[in-house]
Parts: sequence; C-alpha cells; structure tokens
Amino acid sequence: MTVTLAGPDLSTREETSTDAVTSLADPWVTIVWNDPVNLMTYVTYVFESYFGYPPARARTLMLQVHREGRAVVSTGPRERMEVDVQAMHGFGLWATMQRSSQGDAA
Amino acid sequence: MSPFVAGPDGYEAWWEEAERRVLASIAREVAAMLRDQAGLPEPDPDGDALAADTQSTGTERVPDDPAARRLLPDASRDDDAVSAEFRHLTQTDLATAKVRGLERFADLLDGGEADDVEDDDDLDGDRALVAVPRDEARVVAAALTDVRLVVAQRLGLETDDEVETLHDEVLADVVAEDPELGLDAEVRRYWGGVFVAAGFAQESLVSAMLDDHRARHR
Repeated sequence: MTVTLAGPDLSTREETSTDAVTSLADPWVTIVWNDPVNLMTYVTYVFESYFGYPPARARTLMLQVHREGRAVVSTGPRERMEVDVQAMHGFGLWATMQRSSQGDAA
Repeated sequence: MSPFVAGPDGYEAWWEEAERRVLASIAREVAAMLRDQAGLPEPDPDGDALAADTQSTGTERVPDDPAARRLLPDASRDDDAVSAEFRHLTQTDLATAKVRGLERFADLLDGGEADDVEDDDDLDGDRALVAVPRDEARVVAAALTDVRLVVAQRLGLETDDEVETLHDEVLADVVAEDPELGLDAEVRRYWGGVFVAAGFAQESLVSAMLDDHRARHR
C-alpha cells in the first residue's frame, strides 16, 4: 500500500465509548488491512455480526479497507484489542493492533 | 455447483461429486498443514498426554510456511514484542479452532455424498445436497476463507488486480502459465478453478447469512 493515511479514525472512539472510557489516556486500536482474497460481502458480514455495527457503518469500514488499504475497526484497552484481533484472525481477516497514539504503522 | 440458498434448517447448495471431493480434500490438507505449522499434536484419541505437553511449553513458533503465516499473522507490523506475546496467548487456540473448522467443513462435504446416496430427493445427477446448519455457517464461511487464502498464496495472488485477472481467465477458460512462479497452465487452471469455485460458494453462503443476520437485527 502506498496510500498515506492520517492517524486512527477518531469517530470510532465515540462509537465504542464503553471501551474508550476505561483507557482514555492512550487506548489501543484494532486495524483491518486489505487483502486480495477476502470478499467484500464477507468483510461486511464480519463487521456487522462480530462488532454489531449497523449495515451503513460496516459498509463504510469495509470500503475504507478496500480503497485505502486499512481501517481502524475498534478501540479500547490492549486486552480487549487482543480479543478483537484474535477474532479477526479466526475469520481469516488480516488484523493488527497498536497504540492509538502510534499513528500510521504502515 | 449451485449457489447456497437459505432453507428452513440452514443453507443449502448442490455440488457435483468432484467439487465436494476436491474441496474436502483441500480443506483436510490445509488443516494438516496448520496442525504441523502451529505445532499442534496429531489427532489421536490416546494422545492427551502429548496434547498437555505441547500446551505447557508455551513456545509457539512463527510458522515458516507463508500460507500458514497468512492464517496466523503477526498481530503487530512493527512491534515484535506485541506479536510474540499475541502468538503466545492465542496461536494454539486459533490454530486449533481453524483445524476443527476445516475438518468440520470437509466432513459436511463428505457427508453430502454418503448420507444422500439412497435418498432420491437429495440427488440430482451426480450433484448432491450440501447442507450447512445455521449454527455452523460461520465456521464453514471461515473455512472457505482459509482454503481460499492458502490457494491464493500458492498461486502467488497478491493484489486485487491479480485476483481479478485470474477470475477472468478461469471463467473464459483461457488460464495461462505463470513462468515467474514456475506454474504451468494446467496447475494454474486447476487451482484457479478451485479458487473461483470456493469464492462462488462463499459469496452465496455469506450473502444468505448476511440477509438472515439483518433480518434478526432489524
């Protein structure tokens, strides 16, 4: 990926307020990366069924992964992000975690 | 191969015998590869001691097969400590779940053959019903992803464009060789066909799952 991106999506933090409250100082984020294999339908299904995101938000995130190469899909304490990354790998999506302050790790 | 459609008990599609046999066999191969790469014990009803032994060492190794590394990727792009700790915490569980899912998927495909032979309703030429129970659909969808990821890695598919080109070649039946990877046309045609068929199955299965999910959460 050669696209240069800003830091983590701040709007994600507002939507996962429960997690954000517990580690406001420097939360971690889960990032899903684009890969050529996973189907758009499947990525949308994972975002809706696992994270419980409404269809419009799941689609926006899916398109962000597809077009920009990556998207922040959840925010919270490190332990919570480990759970999310493990779940994404279980689905076969390519996910990583990092401190939200770390910015673009690509 | 017909697309999966929602039925009363789950999702159903009609697959030819060759399609079931090939996909089941590849799913079992991927499971065996993962078992080996993640250092999981061999399946053995009397092997509990070995299983306990492997679990307790706590030294999950990074898979050296690139396809296994794609199924069990690093959890950090730039922090080796984060990746190592994540692998330590999750690799055995993740690999075990994937192996079980792949084997369950293969069993469902094999079952389509064995159970339905005497039932005329479930036979249409050499096509047999592949029935995925609703509570196992997520496992099957993930197994299809794992199979497609491994086949894509073997075919050297790294970009959206490369996948699209292969799709077009397969559907137009004009699959060419890939001299760079040393894959002749025959090999690319076979694995390309598997990749496209698994993608077709997954797309229809997941579309039906997504419809059901949205209907439940409206």
